[in-house]
Amino acid sequence: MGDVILKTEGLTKSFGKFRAIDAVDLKFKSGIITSIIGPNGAGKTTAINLLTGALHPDKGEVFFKDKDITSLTPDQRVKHGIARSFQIMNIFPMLTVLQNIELPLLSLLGKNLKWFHTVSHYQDVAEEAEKILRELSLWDKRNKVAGELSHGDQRALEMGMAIASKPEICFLDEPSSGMNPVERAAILELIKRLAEEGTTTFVIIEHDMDVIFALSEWIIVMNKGEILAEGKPDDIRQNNEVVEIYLGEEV
Amino acid sequence: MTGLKDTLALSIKRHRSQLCWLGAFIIFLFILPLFSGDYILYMVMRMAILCLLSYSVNLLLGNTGLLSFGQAGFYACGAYACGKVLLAGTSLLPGIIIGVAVAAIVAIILAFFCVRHTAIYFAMITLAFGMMIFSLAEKWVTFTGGDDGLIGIPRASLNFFYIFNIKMNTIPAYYYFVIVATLIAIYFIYRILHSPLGLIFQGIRDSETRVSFVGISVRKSRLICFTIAGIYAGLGGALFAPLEQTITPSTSHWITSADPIIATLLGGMYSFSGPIVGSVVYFLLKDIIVRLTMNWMLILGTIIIILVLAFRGGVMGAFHAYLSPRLK
Repeated sequence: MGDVILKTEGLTKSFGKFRAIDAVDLKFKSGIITSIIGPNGAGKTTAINLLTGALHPDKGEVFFKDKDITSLTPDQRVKHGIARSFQIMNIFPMLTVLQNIELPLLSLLGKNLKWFHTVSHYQDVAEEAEKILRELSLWDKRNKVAGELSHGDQRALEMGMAIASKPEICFLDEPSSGMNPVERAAILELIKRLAEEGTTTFVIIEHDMDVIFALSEWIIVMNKGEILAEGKPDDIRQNNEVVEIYLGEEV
Repeated sequence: MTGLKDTLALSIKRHRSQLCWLGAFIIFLFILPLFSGDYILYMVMRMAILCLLSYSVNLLLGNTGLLSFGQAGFYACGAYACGKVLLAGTSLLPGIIIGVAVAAIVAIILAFFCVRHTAIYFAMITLAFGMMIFSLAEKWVTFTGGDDGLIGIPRASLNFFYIFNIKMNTIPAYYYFVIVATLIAIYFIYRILHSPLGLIFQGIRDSETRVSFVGISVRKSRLICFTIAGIYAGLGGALFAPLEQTITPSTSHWITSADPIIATLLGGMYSFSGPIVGSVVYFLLKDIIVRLTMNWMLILGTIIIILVLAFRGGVMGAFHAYLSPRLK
């Protein structure tokens, strides 16, 4: 078991009268693939938005390696090593595949204010981009406009952008949504490989039970803005309460 | 790294024909005074100045996804500052430099208020600031000359510490100055738009949230973009003052802001050369239609509607879509 890399204390967020997240204490351990599951409206995506800085909590704190990062903006959190992908596709549709990967690298390698030389002038950015694109099997499509890629390729690209900033912890919000079984298997394989090779800890939100049980080493079940249960996949599978509210008869 | 070399070789090959066109265009601009009268040169200078203003607009619009209705404000800052300095009796360069500097400073200050907003709110707030500068130009009579504006701005000669001294009192002489300044400015904007910073601007246009989640501050990048846009508008204004020799408050009116927006749409906002092509086409259209009918706005309006409905990418967009593949 690794050290706690990211945790929250009493995290609360309401939208109007609806309490999306209610005094939640989340903990993510380094090197452990964790999944967050739960029915629609359980607060999974809100939790990710709070952890990555897209939303600010009404109450509670977020700690990254014991440092309070509650007030930091998303870009500052990325600099600390917290990255994410989005539930609804969020790439740069008018830029090329290569440019999509270059953007996080420019930030990582501190080239984001360079204004005179072309992007390709920077060798370190080019080499790193090639490495990532080959890993994603997108190198041959590097000069294509990203918006014209297939859905599966766009998903893979978005994940590539998340890991390009070399995060210590990376949140994937439904990485396999809208994918066909072949693409789904490929992205699963990719996440597994990245988790094994790299130094990134993945946290995944998913609806697909096969994906979750194939990947996760730790599962957090959320319901109505609270943590219902957490534990190893086998324990979760046998938890009656979880089975009742979420998993139904399929498990 | 062979892949990278292939890409490079390909882009050089593709760029070679573009470079030939560019070279021919620049030579044409430089020999133009040999066989054309002052009116044509005046028109080309106006095109060049509109082109600078269009780059100012398009840096925000086509590259960062922000529509500004207030670029005439910075244009006027450049024009008035340059006019004031030249009226004090300096040579040309200090006038231009101070004009650009004043526009840049005003842009930095206003940027802090403007970059918080996007879409329609950004358009409205820039419109409001632009009109504030307009009323300042109109009411601050002691400094700006009020409605009459600044009159008799000298086209001061270009000298540099007694190293050289070039008289600017003829139209062709000033023409060369404007063309060289514009070409240098366009070169720099080309470098900026193809640099990491330019890529970030285009990323913000595509997806603001994604840019912040790759670790880049959207606010800071927008601030830089807005300031560069202000500098380009200011340079346009600074070149405009000695050309017209009179600056009136209408320079800062929002109607002046609309010209480069129309030119950019005409030329194509997603193409680098869009603002150049658009400025030339806009002036030509205006000049031709004005000779035919008094209601030139009506016809220009019709053309713009057709463009927006049928050719989103403007002239350059249509060129890339229909002609470019056949040329290969």
